[in-house]
Amino acid sequence: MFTKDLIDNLLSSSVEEHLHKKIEEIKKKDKEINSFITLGIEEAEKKAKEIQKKIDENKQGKLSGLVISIKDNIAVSNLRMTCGSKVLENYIAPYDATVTNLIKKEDGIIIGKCNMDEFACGSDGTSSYFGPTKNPVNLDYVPGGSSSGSAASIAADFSDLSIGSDTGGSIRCPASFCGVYGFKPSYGMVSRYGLSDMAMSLEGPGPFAKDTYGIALLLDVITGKDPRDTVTIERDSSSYLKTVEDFKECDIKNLKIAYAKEFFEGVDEEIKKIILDKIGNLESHGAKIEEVSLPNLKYAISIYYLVVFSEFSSAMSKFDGFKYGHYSGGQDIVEAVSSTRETAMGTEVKRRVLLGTFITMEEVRGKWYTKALKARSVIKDDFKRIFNSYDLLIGPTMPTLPWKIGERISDPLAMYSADILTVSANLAGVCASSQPVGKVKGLPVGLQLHANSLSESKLLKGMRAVEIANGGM
Amino acid sequence: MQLHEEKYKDLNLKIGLEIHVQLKTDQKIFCECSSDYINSPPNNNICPICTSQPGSKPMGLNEKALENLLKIGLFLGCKAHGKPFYVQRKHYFYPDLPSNYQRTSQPILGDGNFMGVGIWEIHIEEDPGRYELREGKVDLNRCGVPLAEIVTAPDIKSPEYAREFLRDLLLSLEYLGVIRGESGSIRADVNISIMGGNRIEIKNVNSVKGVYKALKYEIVRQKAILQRGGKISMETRHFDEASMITKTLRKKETVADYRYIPDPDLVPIYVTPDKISEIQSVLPESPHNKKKRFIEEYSLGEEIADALISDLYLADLFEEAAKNSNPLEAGKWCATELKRRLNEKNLSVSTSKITAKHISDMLGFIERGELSVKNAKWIIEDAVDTGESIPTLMDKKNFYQISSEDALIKIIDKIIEDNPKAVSDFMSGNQNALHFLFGKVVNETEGRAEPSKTIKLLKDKLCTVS
Amino acid sequence: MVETIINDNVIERVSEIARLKLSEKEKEKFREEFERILDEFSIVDEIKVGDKELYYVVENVNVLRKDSAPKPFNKINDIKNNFNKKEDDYIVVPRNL
Repeated sequence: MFTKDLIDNLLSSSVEEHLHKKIEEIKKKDKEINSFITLGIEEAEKKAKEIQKKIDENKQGKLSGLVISIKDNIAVSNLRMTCGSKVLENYIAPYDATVTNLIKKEDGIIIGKCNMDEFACGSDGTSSYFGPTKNPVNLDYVPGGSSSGSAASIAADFSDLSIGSDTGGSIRCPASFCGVYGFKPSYGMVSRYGLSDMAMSLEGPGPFAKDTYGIALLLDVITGKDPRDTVTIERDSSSYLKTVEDFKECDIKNLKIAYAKEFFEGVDEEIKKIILDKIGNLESHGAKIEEVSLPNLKYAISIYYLVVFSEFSSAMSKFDGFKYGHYSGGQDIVEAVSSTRETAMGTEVKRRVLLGTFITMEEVRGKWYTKALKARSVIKDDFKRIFNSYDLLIGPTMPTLPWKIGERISDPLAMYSADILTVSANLAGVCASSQPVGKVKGLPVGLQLHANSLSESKLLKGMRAVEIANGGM
Repeated sequence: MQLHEEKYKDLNLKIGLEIHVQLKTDQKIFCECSSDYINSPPNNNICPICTSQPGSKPMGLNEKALENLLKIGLFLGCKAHGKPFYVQRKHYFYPDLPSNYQRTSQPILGDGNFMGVGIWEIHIEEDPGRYELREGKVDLNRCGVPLAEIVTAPDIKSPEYAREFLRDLLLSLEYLGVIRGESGSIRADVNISIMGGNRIEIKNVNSVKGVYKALKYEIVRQKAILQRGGKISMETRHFDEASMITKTLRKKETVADYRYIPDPDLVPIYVTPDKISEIQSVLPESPHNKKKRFIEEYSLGEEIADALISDLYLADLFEEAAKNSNPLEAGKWCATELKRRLNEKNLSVSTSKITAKHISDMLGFIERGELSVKNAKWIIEDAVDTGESIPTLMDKKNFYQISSEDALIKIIDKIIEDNPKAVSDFMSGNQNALHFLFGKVVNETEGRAEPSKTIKLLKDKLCTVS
Repeated sequence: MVETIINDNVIERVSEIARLKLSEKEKEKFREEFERILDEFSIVDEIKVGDKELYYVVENVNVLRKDSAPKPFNKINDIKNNFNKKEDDYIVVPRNL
């Protein structure tokens, strides 16, 4: 287990040295990859010294000096928080997000803020005001989005762990494209306090790592009920790390895994082959594998985006330039706000704000907004039905391989359709993960697992099972 | 029949109010900042939540705010809806609203009544900050202070009654201990229609007096239009405090689509029947029940009872006084003389110096004949102003009446001795002589002889004179 | 698939409500895109739905907060430093006369 070795190493060598190695890598390679918007080196070095002292007294927190990067839509006080946008180009967060607090408490070293699609509106990492992030595996290709920088920072070895956010696949997609591990927790498991809102009923922060162990380690730190986010749920007291450590090869046969045929429709043949192969591996280890149906999958993108548009336009109304962010000025309060928003927001952001405003207007909301919300329960029920009989749902994360940078910018519908396999988890509020299981033409392929809401342990077991059955780690 | 309703009968006035009051709490509604923002320098009573920093989320709704709102609703006779309610986002752009949406809940209680006016619904919402239009300055200190919005039915039938309604409503809310802010200050949206025409909305009137003036102005303005043969179209107007007139708001701002959505950051809230009972049990007696009880327990007339319950502090004072005096008398004096004096001086029981002891003491002196009714009216006025005790005031003003038999008999004897002609006139059947002799006694005592006793004793004495 | 007609008036009104001062080019581009996108998404009409809207994925209710002594925020100056235009600690915005 890679991350475990990393920690053992840290405890016996030097936290500062480890940090400096990372800083060197970043200085050498990030100009090209562009995974960071802001670095917090001074603060990180200070923290490293403190943590070393704690380690020497054996009083260190769970993260023991691991280097962590954080998506730039999550608040880290005194560092810029841009959300990948001109709107917040010079905004310095005056407070810490809950996840930031928890990471600092457990002695993680926050090295910097990661690049992302502007306000999380994108699936390939090319819509940031601060320039696209490149896929570290092949610099000509997109890293996926919207947590593009987070995934890239892991793949490029700039950080040990990372925190991103997932609204409709924004963790799993870049994890798949960059060949790293990404985990979308169940809605309500991780506090959203400090995560710039995009679609409030769908999103939440989540971990990136190089293995299941790293995911579980970070999950133990960031999950839990938070009075600063009323949707958070009390989690059970078991340790996710222990769950992963205790899971053995012989436990694979206890897993009941479903795969939905709809999850394979329209997927690249090469990707299908790899995924089916991995499913076969699990089967040969004794797991029960059965086919199920998700008949409403074809509506998922429509329902998802209608909900996103409505919530996003509400979330974005706070940006008027008065209290923070870009400000154009104007002769009256209407003009000042309108030109501020016009000049600062990117195209996709504007598109979603306008659409969201439209579909929540009195005269049309029954047709779009209300309809989408009623349809959402259909998706939720489909998953409930499956998890009544199965522990896990298995399939590919993305229908295609990463595309070349610049290939898909123009048509929004083409961009939206990339999310077909990931949005359902957010609509239903369940947990889901992506882990690398192979390459096609040198480009990573991700395998996605779903488990029922609040069943993080089951999902982690599934991820570990895939790791073991793959003969690795 | 409402106050002055008769005056406006021909106009068929329909007036409804949407009243905003600040709920008394220590913290703001969705964050831990102080809700006591008045003395804070600008933008110093703020946090990431009430300034809507990116990533901030509302904390759970302030429990005390909700409780205070429930107290208001139950006190006004409303019923809870029996199902969960959401806090919604009401979207509009304005510099004093950091999120550019206001968090405002669905109705929590409804279907009540206060002073004959229906209470349609009550809900909770967050106060925005302050935007000084003319100076272009914004202060966010007030953002997030909890507000109750009370929406009445259009049952008010005169500007005078609107004023009285609001005054008494605020007094009741103060009495409940659930609101903050001086009793004169409220924020109200005023709705008025005349002669079955379209409804005019006047937004953001900041005082009880303002509501009265705005309504008076609107009636004049609308009547003039109708007399010219014009029509009243539905619109939203603004009340200018300085000039005491209403003005039309820009057309743009009157067409509002708030695009309400349930706030995804705040889970639904359900007020259980148990919670309702719990709050009901600690509520002071409602005006309605108090009136019933006053009539039953103290045999008060309905008009007296109504006058007492319109000011609950007055009602309390009456009951306290009634412990040590005749309730009917106490009720009468409190409901008429005392109330009148307070209104004249624009005071309430709580802001004046009058106490229950004043009333019961005064009634005692009257009963013993030591204080005339006429003088008692002066005493009340002084007590309201100075708070000095009744005996002190009686001394100061020399109001002590002589009603002790011994004292009176002594004087009567003297008068009879000094006025033999009058005595014999009376003996021969001249009633006027009695009045003459009575007048002498009055003069001798500088008006302090208690009249009815004096007459009786005089008569008796005269009859024993032979 | 339901035909969705988005005309210039609609874009004009929506951009006003959303406070976005769009250029003519943008207006036309968005108008055309909206028709296509909403047309595509009107597939939701096909779904047989119940009566209830799903607003909340979690089952929490009644998360209330006990009122207690205020806890003032300790970095108020950091908030104020982000104000774009300041004067005597007020946020300066256009006037409305």
